[in-house]
Amino acid sequence: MAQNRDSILVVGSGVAGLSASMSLARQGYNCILVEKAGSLGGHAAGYTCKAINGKCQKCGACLVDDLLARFGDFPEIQVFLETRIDRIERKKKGFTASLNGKYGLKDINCGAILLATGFKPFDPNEKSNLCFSSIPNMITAVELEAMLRDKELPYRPSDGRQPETIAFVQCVGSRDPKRGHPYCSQVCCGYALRMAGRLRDLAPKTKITFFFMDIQTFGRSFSQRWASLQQDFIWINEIPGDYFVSDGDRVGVSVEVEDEIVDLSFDMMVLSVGMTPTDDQLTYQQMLDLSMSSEGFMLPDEDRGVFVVGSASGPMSIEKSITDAAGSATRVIAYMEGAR
Amino acid sequence: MVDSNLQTEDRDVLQDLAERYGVEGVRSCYACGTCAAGCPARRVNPAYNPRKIIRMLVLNEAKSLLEKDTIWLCSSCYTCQERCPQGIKITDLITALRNLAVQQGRSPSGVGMQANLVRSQGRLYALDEFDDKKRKKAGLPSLSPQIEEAVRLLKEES
Amino acid sequence: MNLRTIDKRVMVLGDGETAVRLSKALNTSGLDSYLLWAGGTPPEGIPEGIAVELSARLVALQGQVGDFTATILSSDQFIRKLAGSVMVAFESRTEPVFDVATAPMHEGVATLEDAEAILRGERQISGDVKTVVFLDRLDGASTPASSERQFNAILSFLDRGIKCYAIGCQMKVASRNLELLYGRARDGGCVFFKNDFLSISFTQGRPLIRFEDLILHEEKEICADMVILAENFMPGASLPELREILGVETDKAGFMQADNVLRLPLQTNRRGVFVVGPSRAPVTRWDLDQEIPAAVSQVKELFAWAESFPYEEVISFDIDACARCLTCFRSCPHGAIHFTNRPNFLALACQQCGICTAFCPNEAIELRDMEKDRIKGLIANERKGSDSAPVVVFACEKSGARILNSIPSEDTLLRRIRWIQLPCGGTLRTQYLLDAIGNASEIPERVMVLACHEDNCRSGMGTIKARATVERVKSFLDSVGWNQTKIEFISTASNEAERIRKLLAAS
Ligand SMILES: Cc1cc2nc3c(=O)[nH]c(=O)nc-3n(C[C@H](O)[C@H](O)[C@H](O)COP(=O)(O)OP(=O)(O)OC[C@H]3O[C@@H](n4cnc5c(N)ncnc54)[C@H](O)[C@@H]3O)c2cc1C
Ligand code: SF4
Ligand code: SF4
Ligand code: SF4
Ligand code: SF4
Ligand code: SF4
Ligand code: SF4
Repeated sequence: MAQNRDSILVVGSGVAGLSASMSLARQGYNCILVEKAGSLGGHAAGYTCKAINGKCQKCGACLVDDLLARFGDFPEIQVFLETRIDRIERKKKGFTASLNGKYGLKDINCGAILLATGFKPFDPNEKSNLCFSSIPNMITAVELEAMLRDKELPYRPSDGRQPETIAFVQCVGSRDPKRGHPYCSQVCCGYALRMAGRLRDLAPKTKITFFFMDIQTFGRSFSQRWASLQQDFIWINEIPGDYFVSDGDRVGVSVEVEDEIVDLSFDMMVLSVGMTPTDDQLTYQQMLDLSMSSEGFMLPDEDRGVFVVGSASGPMSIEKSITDAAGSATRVIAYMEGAR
Repeated sequence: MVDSNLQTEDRDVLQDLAERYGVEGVRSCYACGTCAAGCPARRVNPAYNPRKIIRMLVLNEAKSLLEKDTIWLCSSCYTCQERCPQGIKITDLITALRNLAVQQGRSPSGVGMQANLVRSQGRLYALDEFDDKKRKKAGLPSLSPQIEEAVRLLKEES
Repeated sequence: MNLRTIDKRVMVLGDGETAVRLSKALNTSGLDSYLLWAGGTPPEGIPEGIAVELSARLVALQGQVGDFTATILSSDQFIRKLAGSVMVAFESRTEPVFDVATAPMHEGVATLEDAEAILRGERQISGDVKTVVFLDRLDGASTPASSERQFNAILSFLDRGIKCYAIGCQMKVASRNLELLYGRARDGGCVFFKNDFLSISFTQGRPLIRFEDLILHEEKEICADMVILAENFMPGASLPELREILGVETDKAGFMQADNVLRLPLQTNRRGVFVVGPSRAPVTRWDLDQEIPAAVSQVKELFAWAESFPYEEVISFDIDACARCLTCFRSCPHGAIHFTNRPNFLALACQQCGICTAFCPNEAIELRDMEKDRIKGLIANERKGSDSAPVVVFACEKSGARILNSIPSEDTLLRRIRWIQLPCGGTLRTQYLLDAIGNASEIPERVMVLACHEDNCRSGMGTIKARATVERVKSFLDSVGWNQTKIEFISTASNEAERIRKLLAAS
């Protein structure tokens, strides 16, 4: 359709990059999609379904498969897997990017750049009191997602047994201005509670405890759901201080309960890790002369053809990433038409 | 009772803490509980609770805080300060509160005695024969009960 | 390629900022927009190019994307308008949080909306206000949209040197920059208390709030000059009627989008009818800022899709078999059947859910590629090689079939099953199941139907229908004493390969 228009470079193929490139393609633009990993889909492609008893919990994880299923229909999108961008040069009109990867080195020209490079799950080793690397049965929620997807049930890393008691710790690496994360990651209450519901559905005897500050509303009809969730799990409105190995292989914590410090222990602990900027962010900021948002993510420079979409611009859910991608497509097209 | 009279007076305490001791940002506490749950002093004495200290400051109850002995229970281990996600300088704040309390003549008696000892002898605790005996056994020379240099310096300082 | 002619005008329905911003955004991007404005006075800031119909109410909408005909009641006159797409963009209604204010409305009690009016200078406060208490929902189910308003109001009050307290249950900060706003409110001097219980009384005309501070474990009381109640966002007043007129789904609260992720971001069950902003769900400023440009892309993408949609019938209809019973018309979840003296199937609106084919009492409708005889043939021929394949699976394209397709072809598991892909669980017909047992080259041990989880079905109804069909066949087989075949319904999603593998391997 639009053969002689400049292409648009999309970096990253998570839900945001996929949605944005498909939206642009449908509206008649050619896209070059560059993905550093060996497959498309980003983080969400590794998540579990959280349906309970045959009822969808609206986590949105399967939407990435939907996007991927439709993706094949777009000859307008040229995909470079296992590829990174070494350099980007601003030209009088548009940009030249040097791709480096599976298909060798290649310079491409484009009219605008969409950064959909996503996020990095918070690395619990950055928070020393968690003692993450020395507690075998402490895992991150990313690991739990993968475990449930690949094995259907949770297993303890130490002995492969199914845990009878599980504790989730919320806000790990989020709402943490001291570490440069002065934001709520928006998704971890939702994913943790949905996974907990799923765990209880699959193994009804599992006792699940939550350590939290505030539980964020997720999904529609949260108020009814919250009322029943309060019955289903044990709720401790505190964040623990110390984390340690207890009884050989259990996970212990010290925490305030009713105005006293108590030590509690669990078969397994899941850290609800937040969304943090990727390691590449700085490189892109420098390459394209971008500033940082007050939350520490990349800010776009839309007047000069650089757009940031999805969780690369700040924490957001799959749902919001898809909306944001469609919205960005409109702005990119406005820019492209103005630049012509 | 949260009441406007208390606020005006206590705001000065927060101001004092900020201006004279550089400890600010108490209000950003969102009560996560990390500080209290890891505090070793709290383990020994459950009446002690760093989060409550912060909370009382937020609620403009500094006055009653200064009147109590609890602020003196902190062991200054800095665990809480190290961990507070809001970056509140909890330990520094407690030290500052102690300074304020001393100025208002409200320190526990032991603290005053110790301060006098430092002032008069330049030492944290008095030397006695027992110490000298131990030193002799280890082949060390005996010490003078007073460190004159320290006493002089302290005098000059004040 | 022969492109379809598509009407690319977009009709925007609304009564406030969202509709105005949306019309403008559509207009700027080169689409003609037409604003059906609920109010009698024209909205401010509407540029020349956008036609506005005042005091207008939609009363009927016929047709499909690219070719809608709207009947509008405008100042007591019926008018007809053509449009390619319709966007619902009404503002929400707010309702004060009354679960805490057991006391009657009182001079010292205001809603957040009142407070905003005071801040804008549109309303005066009586007396000298020094201390204000903000009350949020105490059931923990507030929304970021409502806390955003609250935090902003708190900051404005603090700016005026007014002492602020806020009591709520769970602080909702899950939106862009909201945690920072919460931090600014605390740093600015607002004290937040978290509790799910409090009491209000009035002393000398001033509200007195009592509650426990859960950190100090002490009773606290605040004597305030004004209590400001947070508000819940409710669906706009015109939505219930509009929903009937448009034939679109709503969620439990009445917002005009089903609780189904397949409708995201802005779609409804009726292709070409979009819903944007507070009509869709409670939204923050940031959400709205994304949704408006997203709506522009969504409709342009849809128009492009519609233009290139081939002129082929996806449904074959046997007019002689039809009894004009209207069942298909009533059961179609997508408004894809227009009934004159017979059903007319709107190609661009049909989502191939097959619900009509499964419901039609006379088997007058068939979905292309899903004809009874074709399926019968498939069941007989799908046998792979000479192996015995004692399992027959009907799998929805979106879930079960994606899983089966992902199993490598050399996997021995596949040799034991014969499977047929359905475009939607809703296309499953009783006859297919009976054929799978009665007309197969080998009597199956198991017949499995793999369709999407409830609420994750593209048509909304397909899974429910498929489950019901399986149940019906099951009890029929029971009643005739057939026990050689186990027949089961299993709901799944594309990312549940492991679970489905285990289930298949168990046979
Ligand atoms: C444990 C966990 C569970 C979650 N569960 C849910 C859930 O249930 N529901 C929900 O809505 N959200 C959930 N989320 C959030 C969800 O993961 C994000 O909303 C979503 O992944 C954002 O998509 P994205 O495209 O912005 O980023 P990503 O998924 O991170 O995709 C970014 C892509 O860009 C690629 N990339 C990065 N840098 C480069 C580069 N320099 N060059 C080339 N390619 C690059 C990456 O390889 C990746 O493929 C969860 C998050 C976590 C941490
Ligand atoms: S939205 Fe989530 S819970 Fe629902 S079907 Fe998809 S993956 Fe499963
Ligand atoms: S979503 Fe929940 S767990 Fe995640 S940062 Fe926000 S409050 Fe914490
Ligand atoms: S750790 Fe910091 S934020 Fe948390 S309760 Fe203690 S002082 Fe407050
Ligand atoms: S510094 Fe003081 S208050 Fe903080 S953890 Fe150590 S003993 Fe407790
Ligand atoms: S359901 Fe069947 S018989 Fe009834 S009107 Fe529709 S096509 Fe005709
Ligand atoms: S297949 Fe579904 S969408 Fe199409 S006409 Fe029939 S019921 Fe309607």
